[in-house]
Amino acid sequence: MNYIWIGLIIISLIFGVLNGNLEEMLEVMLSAPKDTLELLLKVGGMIIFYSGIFKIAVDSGVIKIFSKLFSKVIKKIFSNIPSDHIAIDYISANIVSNLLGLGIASAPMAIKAYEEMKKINNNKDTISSSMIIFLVINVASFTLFPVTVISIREVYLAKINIQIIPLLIIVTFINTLLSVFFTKIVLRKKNDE
Amino acid sequence: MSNLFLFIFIFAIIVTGIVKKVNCYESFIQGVKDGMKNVVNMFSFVLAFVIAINLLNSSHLLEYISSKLNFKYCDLLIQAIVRPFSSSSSLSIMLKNYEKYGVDSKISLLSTFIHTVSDSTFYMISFYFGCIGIKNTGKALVCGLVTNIIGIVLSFLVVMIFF
Repeated sequence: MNYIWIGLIIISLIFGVLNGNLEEMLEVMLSAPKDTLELLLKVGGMIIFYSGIFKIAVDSGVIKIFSKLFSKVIKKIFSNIPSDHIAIDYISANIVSNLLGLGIASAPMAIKAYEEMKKINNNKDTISSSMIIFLVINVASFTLFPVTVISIREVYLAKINIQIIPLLIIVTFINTLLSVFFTKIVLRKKNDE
Repeated sequence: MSNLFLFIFIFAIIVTGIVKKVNCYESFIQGVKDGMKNVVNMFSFVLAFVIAINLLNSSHLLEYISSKLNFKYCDLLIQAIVRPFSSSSSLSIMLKNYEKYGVDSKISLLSTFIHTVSDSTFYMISFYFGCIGIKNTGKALVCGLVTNIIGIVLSFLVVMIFF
């Protein structure tokens, strides 16, 4: 992360200076804290709200129902987590809400899942293999209702719109499968060494 | 449709809470407290991320590259490069493609797929692992980026076959 971050900044700065838009860059650099606050007000506000709603679901045991839906598959994928651990419930709840296209509402569940995975990890500062797998599943964004792009395309009066939903579902599904498979292989190699 | 889901989702949770005799009010407050802590933890990480993306956008480096590379799919190439870094940049390229090539064109469809089939790895890593305090993210970046690449390759295949 460190090198990527430094790299992004250095390349942008050098190119910006060569291009002569120094002032604009200074401006956006100084406005970054404000942008971040605005982003967090928007996204963070929703996360805080759904954290509250989600806590009700946890306390009432609703998320146990979610985890029963996929428990077999998820336990197989996350073989490092004890099978009756609460992290499994959080992971299932996150995946279900992603499938339904609930967007930001699923973020608190992901955070909870990562927190629980951190608790069972031996080294608190370092990522565990189950966290990487969960991240990959989230990046691959398997969904049944790709609502954002569909509504945007509707605004643009697209003729090909509903037809792409099944394709998107298939592609995100295959992407999730292949990526988890790849990640498993990479992580296994690391463990062998 | 997603609004309806969200509504049902929230409603169902509260109803179950009532049925299971949970003190919903207390639970909600407790959850919000946890959420607040998480969001405050996120600030520094998201700030670092926003600075890098802001600088990249304002340097006009990507526009420069795409103006130099003058082939049919260069906008898509730029979008594919940007996708792991920033969702909003990828979205804005997608909208530009809609206007430039028409929303039902092959390029716009590809652009839609590239935007949808994977999420921004860098943002997720800094956001989630910053939030829970993981310093050493190990192979997460590589695995996330491979996911992005697989998604992009699959998008190309599917759009080429079906449209």
